[in-house]
Amino acid sequence: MQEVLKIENLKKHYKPRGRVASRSSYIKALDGVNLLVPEGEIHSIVGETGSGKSTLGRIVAGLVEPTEGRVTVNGIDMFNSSRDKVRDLRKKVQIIFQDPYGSLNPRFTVKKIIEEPLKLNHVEFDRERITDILRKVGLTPPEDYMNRYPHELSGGQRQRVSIARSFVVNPSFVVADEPVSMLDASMRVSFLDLIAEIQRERGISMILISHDISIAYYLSRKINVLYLGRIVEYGNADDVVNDAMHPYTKALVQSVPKLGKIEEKEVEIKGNIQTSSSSISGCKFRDRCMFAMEKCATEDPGLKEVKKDHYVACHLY
Amino acid sequence: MIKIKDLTVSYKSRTGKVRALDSVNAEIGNGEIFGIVGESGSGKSTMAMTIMGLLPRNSLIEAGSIEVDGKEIIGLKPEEARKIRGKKISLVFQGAMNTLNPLMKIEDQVAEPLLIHREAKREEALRRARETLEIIGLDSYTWKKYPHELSGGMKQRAVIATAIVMNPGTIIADEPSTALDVITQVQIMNILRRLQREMDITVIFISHDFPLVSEMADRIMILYGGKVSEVGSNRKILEEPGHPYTRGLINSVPTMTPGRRLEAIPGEPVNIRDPPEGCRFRPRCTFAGEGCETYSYKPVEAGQGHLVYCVKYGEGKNAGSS
Repeated sequence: MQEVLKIENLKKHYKPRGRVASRSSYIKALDGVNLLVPEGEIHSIVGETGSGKSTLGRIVAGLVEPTEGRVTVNGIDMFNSSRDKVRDLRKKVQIIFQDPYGSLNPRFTVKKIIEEPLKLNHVEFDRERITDILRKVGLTPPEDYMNRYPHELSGGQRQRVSIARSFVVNPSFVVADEPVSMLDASMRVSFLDLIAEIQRERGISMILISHDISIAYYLSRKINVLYLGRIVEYGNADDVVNDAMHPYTKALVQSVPKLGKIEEKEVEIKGNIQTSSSSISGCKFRDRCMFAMEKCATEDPGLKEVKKDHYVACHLY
Repeated sequence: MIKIKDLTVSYKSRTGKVRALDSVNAEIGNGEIFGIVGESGSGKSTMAMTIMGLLPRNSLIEAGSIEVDGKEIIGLKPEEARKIRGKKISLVFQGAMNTLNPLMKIEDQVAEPLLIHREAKREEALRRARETLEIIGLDSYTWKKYPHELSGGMKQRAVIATAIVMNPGTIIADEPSTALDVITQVQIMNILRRLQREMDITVIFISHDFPLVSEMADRIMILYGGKVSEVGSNRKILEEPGHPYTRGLINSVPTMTPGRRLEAIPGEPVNIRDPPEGCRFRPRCTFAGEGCETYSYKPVEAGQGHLVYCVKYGEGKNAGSS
C-alpha cells in the first residue's frame, strides 16, 4: 500500500514569550515525530492540550513551518519544493477546524464559502459541484442554504458547511482537528459517520486529531498517542485502547466516562501536562508517572515495537 | 431538600419571547448527586441560574416555585436571597476558574465569602479557607499563590473551595470540567464525589455529557428543549430507558467496545425560538406518530420515581428497552 502522508523526525520549537531564551528553554511542541498514513486510512493523534497535536495538524495542513524534519504528501516535500509544486499540493491537503463559529467568514454566503477554495486553487467548477457537496453533507435542498450567511445557520449546519468546504476540492489528504468537539453530544456520531462516509467513498487519507481517545477509536484504524511533542504509543486502534501499555495511554483510556455509576475513579497519574517541562531529560512523562525508575531520568525511551505492530516508548517494556 | 414545581422561565429578545424552561418539576433529596443532562437549548443552565437567583435582566420567571428546605426562594428580597445564595446553595460553573481575581492570593479568595457574609474575622476566615483548600487537595504551597501561577485544574479546585467554604448544603456544578483536560476532569469529579460522601453535600451536577453524568449521579434528569423528557434513578435510566431520546443518548456513547456500532440520533437539537408543536423531540424521533403532535407532556410512571414524558411509552413500538 502506498503511503500518502509521510512525516520524518518532525520538530517544532517555539521561543518562550518575552524572554531572552537559550536553545534549551525553547518549548518543544513537537520533538521528533514520525508518521505514515497509507492511502485511504484514517489515523488519529490523541493527546491533551499542550501535547502538540494541533501543531502537528497545522504543519501538515501547511499553515505552520516546522523547525526541522520532513513532511511529504504523495512523495512531494511540503516545505522544500518549488512554489508550483507546493501550490499544487495545497489543493490536495485540506483541514477541518474545530470551531464552526470562528472558521467561517461571516460576510460570505454558504455558496461563496464553498467556492473560495476552488477559486483559490484555480479549479474549474460549475454550480452542480457546489450543490452536490451540499447534498452530500446533508444540507438539503442545497438551494435553501446557498445564499445564507453563517449567522443564519445552527452550529451543526455550520460544521456541515466547513466539512463541505474541505471536501469540495477533492483532497487526497484531510486533517480533521477536533471536528466534533464543539457539537452537541447527540450530533457527534452522525458527524463522525458523515466524515467516515465521504472519506471511504473517495478513498481519502486522513489524520483525526482528538483529545478524546474514544472518538479516535471509533473512527480510525491506527492511534498515535502524543505526549509533550513525542509519540509515546502507536498501534492498531483496538490494541492501543484495549491493550494499552504506556502509563499515559492507560490514564487516557481510564479517564473516558463510561455508562454506570462509580464511587471513585482511579487514574494512575500525577500532576498535569502544564506543570511538566518539554525540555526535561529522559522520559518526558516521568514526573507524572507512578512507575518511574532511575533509568527514566537519564535514558530517553525510544519508540520500540513491543508487540506485533504495537509500539511504545516506555522503559517498562 | 429542593422542590421545583412547574418552573417556567423565559427570556425576552428582539424577536420575541423565548421559553427556556417549561413547566419543569424536580425533587432533589438531601445528600444525593442529582444529575441533569441536556444539550444546548435544553434549559439546564437556566435551571441553575434560576435556583441561584442569578438570571439576567431580560428574563422572566413566568410560573412555578422553588422551595429550599420548605422555604420559597422565588421572589425573595435581595438581602434575603443573599442568605441562601452562597450560604445554603453555591455554584461552580464552566470556566469559573477564569473568574478568580488575578490580584488576590488563592487563600484570600477562598476566605472572602466568610468575610463578606460576616461569618468570621480575618484570622479565623483564613484558617477555614486553608482547611477547605486541603480538603479539596490543594497543598499549602498553593495557598499564597496567585491564580496565574496555577494550572486550570488547580484553579477550578480553588473555585470549588470558594463554593464550599461557607458549608452550603447544596452545590450546583454546571459543566464544572468542560474546559479542562480529560485527566483533570477525573480529579474534579472525584472531588465532587467526596464532597457528597464525606461532607454530605447535595450535588446538582449539570452536563451535556451523558456518560459522565451516569458515572456521577444517583438520579438523572434528562432535559430536552426546556422540557423534562425522563427522570429516574441512575440504574433505571440506564437499564430501562423509557424515552427514545434517552435510548439515543445511550446508544451513541462511544464505549470503545470492539465491533460495536454506534447509532446516531438523527437531526439537530431543537431550536427553542421556534419549538415544534407537542413533543419537542418529535422531529428527531423514529417512533413519532399519532398523538405526538398534540402531546401535552403528561408523564407516565414507569416505576417508582421513574417518569417518562413520552406519549408512546408502553405502546408496543416504544416498549422495549435498548
